[in-house]
Amino acid sequence: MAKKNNPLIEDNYQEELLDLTQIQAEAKRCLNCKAPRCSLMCPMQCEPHRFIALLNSGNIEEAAKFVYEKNLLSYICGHICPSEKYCEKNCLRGRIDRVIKVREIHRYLASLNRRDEEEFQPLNNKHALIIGGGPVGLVMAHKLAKRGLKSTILEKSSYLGGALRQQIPAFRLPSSVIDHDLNPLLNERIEIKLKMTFGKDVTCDDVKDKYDAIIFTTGLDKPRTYDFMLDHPKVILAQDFLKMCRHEREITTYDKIVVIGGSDTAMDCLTSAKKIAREVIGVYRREKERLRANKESLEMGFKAADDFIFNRTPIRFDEAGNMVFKNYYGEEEETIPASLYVLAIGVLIDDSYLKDFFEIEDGVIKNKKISNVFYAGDMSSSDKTLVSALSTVEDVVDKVLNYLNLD
Amino acid sequence: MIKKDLSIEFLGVKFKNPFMLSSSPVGNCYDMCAKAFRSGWGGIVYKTLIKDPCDECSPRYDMLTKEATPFVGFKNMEQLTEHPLEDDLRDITRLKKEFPDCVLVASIMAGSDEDWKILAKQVEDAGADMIELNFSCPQMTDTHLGSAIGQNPDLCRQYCKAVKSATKLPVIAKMTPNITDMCEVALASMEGGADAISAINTIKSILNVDLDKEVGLPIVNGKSSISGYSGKAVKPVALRFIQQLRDNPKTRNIPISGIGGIETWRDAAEFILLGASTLQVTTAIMQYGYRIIDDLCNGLMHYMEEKGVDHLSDLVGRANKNVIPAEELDRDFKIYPKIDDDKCVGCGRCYISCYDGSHQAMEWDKKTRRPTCNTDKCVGCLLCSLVCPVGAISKGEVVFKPGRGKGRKTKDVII
Repeated sequence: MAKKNNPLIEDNYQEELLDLTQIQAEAKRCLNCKAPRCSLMCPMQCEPHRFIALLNSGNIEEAAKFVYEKNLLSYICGHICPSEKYCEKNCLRGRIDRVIKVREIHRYLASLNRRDEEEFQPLNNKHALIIGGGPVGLVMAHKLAKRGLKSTILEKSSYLGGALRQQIPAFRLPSSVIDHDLNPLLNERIEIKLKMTFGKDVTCDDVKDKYDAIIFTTGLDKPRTYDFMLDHPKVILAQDFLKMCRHEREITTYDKIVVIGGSDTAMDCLTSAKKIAREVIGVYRREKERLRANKESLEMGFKAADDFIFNRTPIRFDEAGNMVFKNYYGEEEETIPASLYVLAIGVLIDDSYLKDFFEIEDGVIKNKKISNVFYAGDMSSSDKTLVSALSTVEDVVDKVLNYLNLD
Repeated sequence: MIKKDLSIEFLGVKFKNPFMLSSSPVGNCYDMCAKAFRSGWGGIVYKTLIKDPCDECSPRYDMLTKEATPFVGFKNMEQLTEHPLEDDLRDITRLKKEFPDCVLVASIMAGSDEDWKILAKQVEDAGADMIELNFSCPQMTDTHLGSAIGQNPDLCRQYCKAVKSATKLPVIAKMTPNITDMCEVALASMEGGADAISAINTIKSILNVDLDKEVGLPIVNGKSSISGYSGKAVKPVALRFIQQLRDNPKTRNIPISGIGGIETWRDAAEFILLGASTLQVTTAIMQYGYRIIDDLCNGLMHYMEEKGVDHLSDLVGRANKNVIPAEELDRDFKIYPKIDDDKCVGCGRCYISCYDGSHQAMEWDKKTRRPTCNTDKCVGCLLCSLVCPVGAISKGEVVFKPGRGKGRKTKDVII
């Protein structure tokens, strides 16, 4: 297999932002609704109708501060939030012509990088352990710091940002954008420990009495897979594939890549795969209508895929090392040859290290085994999106403070 | 493409269509006027001639905006011609020679009988078809000129007389709106011999104030001046003055050239219905160019077709009789709004405006996001229909107020 310079490495992307004139023109399309649906639909309560109104009144500075007051990861959300299912879903302007590009406006305001001076309460001698250095862990640590707590963050990789920096292609979310929002969260009350894998480098016994609160923000980090695929040289997990695409300076090129799955992640895999393979095929086990990815991802994925095959579920490898699929609704089999199979069929809670802390049933956390343990983010949110994960933080902060009698 | 005869006679001169450039930056030299004529404009009022060319400032314009709309109103600080008199006279001669079928009006301004007479004679000799007397520029550096004349009936009368004594050409007196009663100065001008009135010139204004520098816009080396306001926003003021000229028995029959915020054929038709027989345009040209003439003509032709008239003059003044004093309006009834639920997008703007700006008559269903009108509270102001962004609210049921409209039928009420 040939290696070449990775075309997916992020210095190949230049971000395209609308300018102020375009943003203002867009904002001025707002109907100024009563009980605005954009704001009702946002899991983070970003209140788009307010920042649009501020922008329309010419108060750009205040509008820019407002987005960060509501959402500490505004610039990131301005890039990757599936706004079509939230603020832009029921925008009434869409009934006249097209919905307001709320996310573009949000992104622009966040790009101005205005934040109000933050108030930090005096230290209170409490120390939290946060497992997971992703967006939820960092926002959690920041919010706790403001309330007077110190935190230690354990992160298993060598950088902060979690899924943002591993599973989202650089062309959708450049590192500069991630840094723009994550760096300001850090301060002297937050200690970062990188390359620490919980369950291996650190165990339950090491920490359960050492910290006042233990908060898991590890998300869903166990990829689903099929037993017959385990350790097969032609199979790679979507998470590993995307990490490789984002970070390796030199990358192997392939003749043909098959991506199995129908999620946003699968679509990102397709888009990335097209840059390093001659031919790219998407395979989904059900009908096209059941695809779970959001519209924007689907458009990119379909554009990248040379073909998309539906109603096919993988069952085994044949002698030649090609994967055999079965019709989801029937018995006929079909071999879809490829040089690499990317598996993107979902992620689960990793109960291997969580089971010491929680009772878990069918991948869902039911009860705590230790009183000072908490969890936030994708582990508890119903909608596996960044805003949805972030929307769980405030509630957990309250629970922690309440538990520590600090409110 | 529709073809209708848009020609109209004004002061014995035939215009192929009623649209003219007003005396302003848009008709400043031969090249501009030639292009305007070639584009199809019926006439031009050449930028005002004066003995000594004017000294202009920079910048000299500003605009009023609302939401996403630029040029709601426009402010300009330019005065009169910037050329030596002989250059302008030469251009007028050349234009008239090359475009004999187009009407060229020379606008002039002076500060003494003698100067008015000399200019009038000069433009007549140059070949102008008629003369417009600029009694109305509101931003002259010489405070005895421009709108200072137009605010003084005696000066208007005197200067008209002087001009008429020096020329055989028809004379139009251009009025300033910076006055309470235009009839008085118009009448004085008529007494002096003016054959027609053009109205309105621009309104004295301060459009915007720069909040950093604490000075009005446009900023000329840190300062600004009061100057003329024009564009769409002034149309209502212009229409009102024209109606009042038409209402006054003494000025009722004077020919009027309408000016003030004409952008589209609809604006033009409104001026015509209220009594203007030619129309002058500047601000819309400054924003969009001479090319708007095609749409102005085409739209007006369609309107004539719709109205079943073959001569534009048949439309002039048709709306005047329908403007009556407030005390004579029929106040016996009210009209409830009719809400089209299919068109409604559920934004709730009608609810907010009715509550905060009228009589709390609109009710709002949180679940369905649909408004309904509580007729017990509704006064029939129809503010709701104006704020609706999708035109889902129209005039609905007509009802007589309690104890009123005896013996009348609601269907006879014209809505």
